[in-house]
Amino acid sequence: MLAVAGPTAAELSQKPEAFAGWEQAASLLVREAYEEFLRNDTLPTLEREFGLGLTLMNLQPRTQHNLRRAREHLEHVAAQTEAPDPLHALARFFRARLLEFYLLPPDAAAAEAEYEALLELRTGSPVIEMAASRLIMLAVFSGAPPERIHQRLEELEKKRGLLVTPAGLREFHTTMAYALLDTGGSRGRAVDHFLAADRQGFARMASALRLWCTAGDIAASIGRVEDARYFYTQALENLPRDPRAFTLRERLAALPPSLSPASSP
Amino acid sequence: MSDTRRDVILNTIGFGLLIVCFAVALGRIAWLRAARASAQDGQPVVTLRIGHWQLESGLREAFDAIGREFERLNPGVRVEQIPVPERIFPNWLITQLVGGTAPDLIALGYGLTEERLARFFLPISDLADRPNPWNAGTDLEGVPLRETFLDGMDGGYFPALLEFYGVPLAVHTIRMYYNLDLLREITGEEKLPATFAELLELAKKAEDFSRRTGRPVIPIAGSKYNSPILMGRLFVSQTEGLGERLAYDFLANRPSQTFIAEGLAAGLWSVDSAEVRAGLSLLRAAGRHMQAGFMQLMRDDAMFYFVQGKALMITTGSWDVKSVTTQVPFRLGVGRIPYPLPGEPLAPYSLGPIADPSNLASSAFGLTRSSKHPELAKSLLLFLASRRGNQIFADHSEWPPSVLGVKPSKLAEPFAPFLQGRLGGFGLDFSGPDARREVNIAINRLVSPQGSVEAFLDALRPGYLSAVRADFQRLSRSSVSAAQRFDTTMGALAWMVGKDERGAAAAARKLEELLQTQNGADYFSRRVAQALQALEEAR
Repeated sequence: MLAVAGPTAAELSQKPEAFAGWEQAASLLVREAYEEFLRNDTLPTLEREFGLGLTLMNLQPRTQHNLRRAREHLEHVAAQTEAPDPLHALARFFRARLLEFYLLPPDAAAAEAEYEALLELRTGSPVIEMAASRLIMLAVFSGAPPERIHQRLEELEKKRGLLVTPAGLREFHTTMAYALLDTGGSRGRAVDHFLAADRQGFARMASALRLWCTAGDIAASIGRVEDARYFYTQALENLPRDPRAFTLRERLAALPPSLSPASSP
Repeated sequence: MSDTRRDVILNTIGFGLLIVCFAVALGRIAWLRAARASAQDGQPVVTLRIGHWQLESGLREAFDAIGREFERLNPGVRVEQIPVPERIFPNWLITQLVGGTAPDLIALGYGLTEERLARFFLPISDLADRPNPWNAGTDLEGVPLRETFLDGMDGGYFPALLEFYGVPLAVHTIRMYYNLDLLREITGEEKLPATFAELLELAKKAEDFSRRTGRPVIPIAGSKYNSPILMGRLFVSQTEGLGERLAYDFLANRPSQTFIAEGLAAGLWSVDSAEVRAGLSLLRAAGRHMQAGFMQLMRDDAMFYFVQGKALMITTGSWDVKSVTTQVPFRLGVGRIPYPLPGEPLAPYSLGPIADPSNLASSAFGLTRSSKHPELAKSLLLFLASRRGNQIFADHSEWPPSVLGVKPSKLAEPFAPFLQGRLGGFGLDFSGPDARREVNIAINRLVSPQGSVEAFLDALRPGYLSAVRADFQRLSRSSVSAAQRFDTTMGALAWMVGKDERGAAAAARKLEELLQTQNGADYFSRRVAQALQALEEAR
């Protein structure tokens, strides 16, 4: 979790308006949040500037002019702070997002370098740890030849050692599993990643169900019967009334009896 | 008497009558106010209002009954409902919301974007995780609210906002409605068809009966609203195996749009594939027994044929059951639609029985931010979601209930979700509205007497790929936008976690859900872009 600099809880309790902009931004009320950050000069300058940068990313209409202003704000916050101030890493992370996913033309190479550097900071923040997933996506959808993508995915496997939060680990393993499947990589390794993601737990059952269904089918397709049984059972036990339950039961029943000890958790 | 004098007298009488009416109205308002105040020992009456568009039979009675019960349990509270016709509901809604005059509780759906929901409605995720106090004394006492719903309250969850905003009141399903009196006349018995072959046989008997007696009888009443429900499910009964071959995650992410699009671009399937042709043959077989030009007709037109006894069958949902029952002069039968099973003629690619497509509860109600009595309104919302409240709702509306342990009415029994089957494959409109429009334009060539699968495909082929491409261009923009939108939320939550002691736990929960959702949305948007590129290259 982020260790946060800034006003203390006691200060905040005296100034409830300190969170108005953040609460609006967290509720998709981007215009209101942006205006609040513009108006509220009681906020610390850098926090306010970070808020302006974040809201400008999604202020409608989303123009390149607004996005460039967002980038300027975030770059300024990053330059004025240092690790381990959480503002520093967050400002750099969202600047990288702007580079790869918002600004035209995108600058994937710069974003990639920034994500790599952010992971090396070992912030312990789940948001910053999403950089590992973004690196995988940049590799998979780079348009490079499959062998180059697989080589890059091999390199990115090592990023796992830089992750410590359950969310960061879960999303890293999930993304890596899909990356392997989408690029014709090893199905066995994909199943291993699905298992590792599952060990971290899920916040949304709908997402968990999708993973269990896919992981079960992939495990069954390569004869990892016990893993398939584990994933199908997880899905059925957690969501017995889902419309997919009938098919899952059919697939579970069709699995051959176990010949070897379970390899799943 | 001169004309002028007569005019003066008439005007005086008219004006006098106006004054009297005004005085009577004023007196009545004053009397009602006094009566209400004295009824509550001088305490003012608090009025809660519920706004909705559900004008089907039994719905207003259901909300009235719930209101009376809530009033009995909460002296000093009045519950009023504002039923608004469906067509004007979106305009009415936005006027009320912007004007700050919205009812306390409003049906969620028509006219609501996610942004409006966030701006004008209160999230109820905190309530979802706590027991519903109105369930005290039942076996749901102490159970978190979300776990008291058949669907885990998913019908009230809005993934883009990462919050629960509504409590859903019913679980709707689609069934075939039958005119039992007509069925007996035609077949000499009241046995509902159990297989697709039996359905077609029954439709043929109805046509023979019509010819023999000279009495016009439409076997299946169709419209552009009712028919796609039946035909869409018939079609997907043939494409499940194809979908599984195209997408490794088909069961998880049906219809796995990106893989199906890439498969189309790569020539792994086309509108001429055997599975597609089999699905189209089923559509022709069913559509041939609907009235001519049914795709140009509205929902009410089809319903009119049925309630007038001019059609033997109609496909519609549980929301219509009470309206139909109260309108028809014949006995009503309701049964599951007999989709084709493996081994049936015309259905070589069926893999098993077809289940209801979803068990998601719907007809959700949310709490407006402008409510002048938010705590009482919250209590009313929870009462609607309680076993007792949902039982009252189910009894009067005859809609299938959404809360665990609530008994469906006799009429609602046939609508219990059927989950002992498969979900089927994908439709030709898998990509979105442009492909759907191409199919609808060509559909008459499939179902008209002189039509055929070949004629339909000849009409569909020229524009199909470009329609799918247009759908993917739109999907690409919307999926990127959805993934981008989460960034601001993610940054705000990351900042709030650990800083705002009042909302830290809620922010942490939302952040955890968001990270999972956003990562998936981001990946999906890139897959869509890749599929779009493949479609562009397949020009």
